[in-house]
Amino acid sequence: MQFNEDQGKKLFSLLGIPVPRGGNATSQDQAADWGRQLGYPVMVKALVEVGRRGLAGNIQQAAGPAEVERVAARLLGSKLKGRVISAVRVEEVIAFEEELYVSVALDRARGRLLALFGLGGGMEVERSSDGEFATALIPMRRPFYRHHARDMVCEAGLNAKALVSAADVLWRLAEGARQRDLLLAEINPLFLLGSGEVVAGDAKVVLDDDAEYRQRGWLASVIGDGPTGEHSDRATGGSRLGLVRLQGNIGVVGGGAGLCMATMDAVVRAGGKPANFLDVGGGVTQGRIAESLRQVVSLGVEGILVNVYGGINNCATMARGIVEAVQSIPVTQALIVRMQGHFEEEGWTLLERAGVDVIKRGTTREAAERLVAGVRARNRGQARGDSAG
Amino acid sequence: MAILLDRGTRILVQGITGRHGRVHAQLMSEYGAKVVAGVTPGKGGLEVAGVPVFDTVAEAVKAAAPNTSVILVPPAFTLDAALEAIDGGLRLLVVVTEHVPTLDTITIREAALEKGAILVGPNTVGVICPGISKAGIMPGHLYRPGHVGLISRSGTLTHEVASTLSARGIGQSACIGIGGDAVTGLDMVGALQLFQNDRSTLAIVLVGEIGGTAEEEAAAFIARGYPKPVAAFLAGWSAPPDQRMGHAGAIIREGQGTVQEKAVALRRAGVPVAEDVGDLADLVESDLARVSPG
Repeated sequence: MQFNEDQGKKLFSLLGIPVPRGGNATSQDQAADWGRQLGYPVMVKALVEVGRRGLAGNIQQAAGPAEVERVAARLLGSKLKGRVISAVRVEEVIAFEEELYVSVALDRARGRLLALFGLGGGMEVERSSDGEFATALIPMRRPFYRHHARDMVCEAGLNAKALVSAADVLWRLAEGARQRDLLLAEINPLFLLGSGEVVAGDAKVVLDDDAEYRQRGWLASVIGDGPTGEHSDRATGGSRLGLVRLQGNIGVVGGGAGLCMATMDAVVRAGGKPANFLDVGGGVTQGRIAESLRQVVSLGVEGILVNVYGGINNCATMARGIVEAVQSIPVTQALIVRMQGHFEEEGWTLLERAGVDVIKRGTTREAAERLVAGVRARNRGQARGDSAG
Repeated sequence: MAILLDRGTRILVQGITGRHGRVHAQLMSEYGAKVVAGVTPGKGGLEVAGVPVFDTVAEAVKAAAPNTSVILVPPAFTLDAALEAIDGGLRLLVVVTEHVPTLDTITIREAALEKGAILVGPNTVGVICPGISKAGIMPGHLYRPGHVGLISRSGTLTHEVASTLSARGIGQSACIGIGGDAVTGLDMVGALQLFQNDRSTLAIVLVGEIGGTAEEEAAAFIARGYPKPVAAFLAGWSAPPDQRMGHAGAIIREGQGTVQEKAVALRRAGVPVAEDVGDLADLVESDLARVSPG
């Protein structure tokens, strides 16, 4: 789950990391209220979970009530990279001397949490390489002490009070990530004030979807009154993917994200266009399979390819779900089911008895070609029927 | 003898009294694997699929001497179960469970590394050495004994590729699902290293998909000189591009690698990449023809 900046800063407050005073607003009036409370000037920032907001004019300073309302009116309801901006964060303007960079993030290649600290914070930090940062792998089975954080900040070149306050933020971020299942906790920039204190200028936070169940205690207080955080895209293997809508006419139901994608690829190569991505996942029930088919049918597709294996799933259970869907919806589109694996004989029998077109040992390619050809033949038949009538 | 498993492999099933544990203990036994014990805390003394159930791994180790654990417990209990298996001295852990919290996986990895145990998964179909043993959930009849080492990030694509190869008469020495999660134990490079020294493996197949950098790392490893022919199959050519958030990903190159990028990296390393499983079988056939003795 990706947090927006307001949610991220609420979490930072829980972690004891200083953030600018402010809050979120979903209307011009609310934005002006914040302005009154905080005193002008204020920053008005679009709350939307995409990077590089600043470059697109979605972060703006407002000198007075009229301007804050004008900026809020312009931002609210507008779109940034396809996402509607439904709220803004209004906060005090921080007078800083330097911009620092702090993050704790999952390093997939190393399979560890990696802490990064650097002096050159701000919008252009993405062009940096990791050589410009002090780095440390966060251990999971031993503590990450404050002195580890101080070592990093010292290595990066800070000293005196700035070193202590920046290291404290880094340590709190690392502890926060460890204890709260954060796969990304980034502060860019971390403002360094003349006094040596630091304040988090931004907040990018991603919570591990698979760990949400054990973080509910604080989660509600952080995402509760803001716009709901969006679940991150997990196209690399999870099964809670749900349906991803695409532009085409061929519905795809796959068992496993990889097989589902390979099936989409095969549909494209056969000359069709996938209408969706839908991974039924592991441990499926009859009801879930039936519901998957229902969802795909509701997209208005012309043909459906179900491509599944009985591994952790049971072919007989999946077949019962398909039969349930075919009989109850009913499915009038061209439908091909390719299925093999555990309890396949039982599954095939159930499907054949219900008149479902089953591919037993044929390849995904054959299944896709047969379906696409079938849909074409139907459309031709329909066109002829239309012109004849 | 292939890799990771042999005829002497003694399997412990953690979570054996659960819905999946019960079924797969039975299916592994039917395949010919030696399933010697199960563990479910609180259910000690029962028997499931003809296998004695113990309350703790320590008891199971004392009574049945397993060396490999297949973990089929719910995600919230996986960390504890895996650490118990590592503490119990098991050498190979196959974590089938999906939706294990990422930081739990990282913790298990750390513990396994310290004790010299091999972690496969999580979110994996497991490991099969066709005709020899199976520590996982794959439908065994789709796999045939032979000389191809298969390494896959995707569970069902492991079945897809193996069954296609089997149907073409191309058997496998071992098939490893390394798991579909962002962080896994044994990775593609680790699996390539295991196959490198295995005399029963003559050619390698990599099965990849969008996301992460596993394929790129494998390509870099192969480019430094790998003694066996490698071919790859990738899924996700038609996948829509992802959004990325934050700079940390870019700095540490977490990436959301597209299949196109992965294909370039692999081909540059001399690994031919197939977009179709049938085409992959052609590549493997010619690989085997080249390296097979006689």
